[in-house]
Amino acid sequence: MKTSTTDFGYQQVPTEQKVEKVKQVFDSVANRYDVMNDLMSLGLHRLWKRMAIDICGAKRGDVVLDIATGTGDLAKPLAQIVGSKGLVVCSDINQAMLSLGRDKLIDQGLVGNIEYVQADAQNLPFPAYSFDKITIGFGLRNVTDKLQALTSMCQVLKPGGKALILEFSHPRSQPLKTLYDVYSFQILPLMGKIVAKDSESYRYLAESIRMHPDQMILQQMLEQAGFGQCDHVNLSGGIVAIHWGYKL
Amino acid sequence: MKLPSLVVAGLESAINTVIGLDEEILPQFAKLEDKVIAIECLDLELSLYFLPHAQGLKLLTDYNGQADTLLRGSAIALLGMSYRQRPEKSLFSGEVKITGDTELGQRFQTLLQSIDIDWEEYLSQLIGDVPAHQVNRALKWGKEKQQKTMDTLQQNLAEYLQYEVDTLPSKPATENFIHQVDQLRTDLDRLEARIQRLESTIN
Ligand SMILES: C[S@@+](CC[C@H](N)C(=O)[O-])C[C@H]1O[C@@H](n2cnc3c(N)ncnc32)[C@H](O)[C@@H]1O
Repeated sequence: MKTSTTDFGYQQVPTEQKVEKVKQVFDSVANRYDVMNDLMSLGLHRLWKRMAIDICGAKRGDVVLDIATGTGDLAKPLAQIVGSKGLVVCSDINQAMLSLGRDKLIDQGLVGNIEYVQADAQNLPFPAYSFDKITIGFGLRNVTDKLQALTSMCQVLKPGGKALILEFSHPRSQPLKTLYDVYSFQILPLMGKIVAKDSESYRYLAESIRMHPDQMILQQMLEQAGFGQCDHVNLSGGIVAIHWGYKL
Repeated sequence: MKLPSLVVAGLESAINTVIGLDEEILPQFAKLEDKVIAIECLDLELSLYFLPHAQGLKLLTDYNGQADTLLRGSAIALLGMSYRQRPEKSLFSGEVKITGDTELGQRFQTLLQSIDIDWEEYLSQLIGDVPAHQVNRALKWGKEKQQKTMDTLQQNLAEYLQYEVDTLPSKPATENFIHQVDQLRTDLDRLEARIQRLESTIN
């Protein structure tokens, strides 16, 4: 019998193992996660997240789901925007990341309009038509079946609701591509080794970014999953892209 | 024109740092939780949305819903509103008009005046140094006060970077580095003098 396989960075692993492997990566980097984010992106990730929040269009009173919430970088501004009449549901497949995120948000005084749910993006455990907005920041890349995750997102969204995906993508110009390759395969693992004492996890990061669908394919996947009026913008020359679609 | 994210990000963190340093102001902003205050700058065609929350203020360049109050005026009128003691009468052309919840608008105005933010700095990032500088002069903005906030901000930032993030070299390390650079420069000067001497012997 032939077992199905899926990508884990550049390796092929049995499909059922990917979740466990991704979990190991995030378990391993969890406590150094924020520092590495700043170092790796030269601080740019803050700006990318800020733009995602601007584009997401959340407003006072909205019910928002933040998938793959990690340390809560998107959840924080979202909670501040929806206010006391709104709600942000933070969800992550990884318990360690979720409790890290919860601790961090509580420490900053963000309580009352935030809930935490451990959940797999592929099978969101919420009733249909639950959310006004859904965000997933740098998370989709790690999901085994991305189309299934997008479909699940579309199901739990309210009609007229908007889903937003912030994710690494593919640089548009050749010089930038070359520079970016050197950076991600030489410099990044080295920084990972020094700061997080773990170069493998950061090599996985670089590889998983290369394996992630490019801008056009991801947009098509959104349409396939049932979203309408899909579009995207490139940030930093396409190193990162923000995609969105509406449940019509 | 839409405000660049970088400028808004800078302004937002400056505002929140100032608010965070002042125990009396923060609760006042927090009281406005769930409100949305829009500011529209007519001559620059800019809009900015202020969303107060328990930790400070969130700034957005776009807001999909209805703002509770709208403060509208020219750049100079808006700047005047945030600096001057008496916002009702603007020294310059035009006034700030409040529509919607006027009480909220006035309260927010007063709150903005009570925090020391170098608005001119952010304005200048948008429209270039000279005009913003002139505006600032005209307003005779108390430099001393401003300097104090900047010093605190800078100190906080330096401490944050050094101890919390640990990405900046410490002062002794920096001084040592600068010393080495100086040394190198002197060596270089000497080398150059020697080369010139050699050259003149050859010629
Ligand atoms: C790179 S972090 C992103 C954190 C945060 N959103 C940010 O932008 O900083 C990716 C997160 O995705 C989570 N994750 C991986 N696979 C997932 C899945 N199938 N469902 C939900 N979350 C998943 C990981 O546990 C990790 O916390």
